[in-house]
Amino acid sequence: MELINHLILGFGVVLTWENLLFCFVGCFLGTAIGVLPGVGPLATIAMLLPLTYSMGPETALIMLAGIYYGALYGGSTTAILINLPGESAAAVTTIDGYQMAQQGRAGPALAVAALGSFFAGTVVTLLIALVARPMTKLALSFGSHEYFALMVLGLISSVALAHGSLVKALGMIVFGLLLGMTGIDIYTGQSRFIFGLIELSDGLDLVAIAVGLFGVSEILRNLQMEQDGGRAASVAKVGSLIPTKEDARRSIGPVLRGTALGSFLGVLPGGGALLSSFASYTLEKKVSRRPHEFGKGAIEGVAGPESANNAGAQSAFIPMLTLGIPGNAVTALMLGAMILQGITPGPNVLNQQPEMFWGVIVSMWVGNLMLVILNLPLIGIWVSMLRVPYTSLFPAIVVFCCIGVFSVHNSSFGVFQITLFGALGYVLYRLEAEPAPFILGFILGPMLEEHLRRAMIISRGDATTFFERPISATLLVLAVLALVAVSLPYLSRKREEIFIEED
Amino acid sequence: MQILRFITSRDILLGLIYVGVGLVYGIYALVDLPMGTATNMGPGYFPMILSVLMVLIGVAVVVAGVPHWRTKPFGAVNWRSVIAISVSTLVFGLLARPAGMIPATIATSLVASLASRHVTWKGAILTAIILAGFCTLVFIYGMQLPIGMFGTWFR
Repeated sequence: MELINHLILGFGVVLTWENLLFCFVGCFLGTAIGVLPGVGPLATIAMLLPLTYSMGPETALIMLAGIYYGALYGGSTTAILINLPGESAAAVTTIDGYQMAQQGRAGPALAVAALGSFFAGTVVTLLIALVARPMTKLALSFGSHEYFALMVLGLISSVALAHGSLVKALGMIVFGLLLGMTGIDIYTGQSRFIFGLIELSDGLDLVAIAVGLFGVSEILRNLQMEQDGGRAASVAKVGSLIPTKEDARRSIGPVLRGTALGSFLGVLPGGGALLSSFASYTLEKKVSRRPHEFGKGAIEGVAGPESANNAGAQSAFIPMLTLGIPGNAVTALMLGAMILQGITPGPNVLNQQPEMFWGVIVSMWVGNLMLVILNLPLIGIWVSMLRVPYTSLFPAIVVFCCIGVFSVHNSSFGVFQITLFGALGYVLYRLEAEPAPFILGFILGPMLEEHLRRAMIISRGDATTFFERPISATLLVLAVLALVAVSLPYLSRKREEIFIEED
Repeated sequence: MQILRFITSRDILLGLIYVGVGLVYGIYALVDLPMGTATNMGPGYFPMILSVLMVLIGVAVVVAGVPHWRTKPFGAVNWRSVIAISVSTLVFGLLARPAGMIPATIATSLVASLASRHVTWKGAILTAIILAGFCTLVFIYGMQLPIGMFGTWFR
């Protein structure tokens, strides 16, 4: 009964014209940037973050969340129609989706992708509503020791599930943590690492960093590719959207398995949409009675991963909303949005901001419904959008980034940080160092320090107490195990395999 | 030249960046910030731990990279794009207040367009004008961001 009351509360929040409008705006923008190759949800969320300041916290998060899962719907369209992942989590969909399009079956592929995603979205919305209470109850029993340990585990596993060199990624975390120390120390009021710049007292600008590392450096990367090769763009015909009975029958299993797998993998730190879709494709290929059809237009290869990535994207909100610990870069930015709204993330959010909490959760279901309509009957809009040349698109992205960051403090100081972090992001990309662990570290840094200091005061400077308290000890041991596991040669080879197709 | 190629080899350069950042933050913390004790950590304590970690990781990346440095060159840099995009954001920062949003948008868009060789002059100008119109409508009239359309230069 409690659940129903919560959902009613959530619907009450979502079904106001303002929140519906921004939910729609988020889903619409999400689909748009999902369709466009070379513009990702991270960059878009970073770009739009400043514009959410004037909104209420629930409206802001509803819109930003819509961008994330909306991008997954849009990404599959591009994957199926032009064999490019519009969004990285749709990369595996290109394999069988594009083959289906080649056989004149783009319509059913799109339909199965959208409906599978909608099913997954519905299930995960209910799942979040169900686990929210117990999760926050558990989290409320956590002290600073446990929080510190939990954050360490989160940071370490974000590396374990990322691709590329382990040591480099660990370095990126510490890099982010260090830069996160910039600004006034909350305990003593002393300014740190401001290098004589008063403007840095509030710390480095999260939005500028995110926009620089993800938005600007993404443009530089795309332009580099343009120089190296350019992109093909022959759009397949959509045709009839209605799947055959056979299609429907063959899709049920993959959708169910994809949803289950995605829900689970999304909760893990470092998990989310990308990992879920790859894992689902591998699983479907293993359990299929027709593995030889994979790669030649098997509908299972679309239905599974597309359901999984949507499930994973949404279940990634569970640790972010209930524990205040983001598992991936997108939820880290959402957490940033919450902090900028003056909300302290953590288990108290559920009690102190029930409208926001349940509003965001219910909005996911409403948003998914909007997305099915946006992506099936209105598919024509998105197909025509694929014809917008990148040469007009990238100057627009640069301008939007600048205006957004400028408007935060109505000052150019943030804009100059875009310049710096855009260039840094490009260099780091060329050096094969991923920015996602960096942003996670940057956002968690101040919280990590706060909990460490509190824990050490409580335990009178004795660091071994971290291993004497059962929960914090377990979490830290898990972190060490995760670290050991990924350094094993077998697993590191597997990691390469899983992520190799992303590039 | 050989030494430059060594330094810019992918792993070596990243390691050196890590070491550099660690040293800068570490020395700042050491010189400027009270460390405190383990029980009562000062503002410099945790950053110091991180700086030491950063330097150690940096050294590890360098050491691991030394045997492979020849096979991992930094690669060709698309200087045109990097410079044009960087300058375009600087231009926005410099112009936003004195010139206002509309001139800043047009200038930024034009400079950014230089980043791609596939952009024609006509296309760049068209993009800039459409963009300025769009931004005025959405950001100033729509979202009412506190940015002036025209700045102090035009008063």
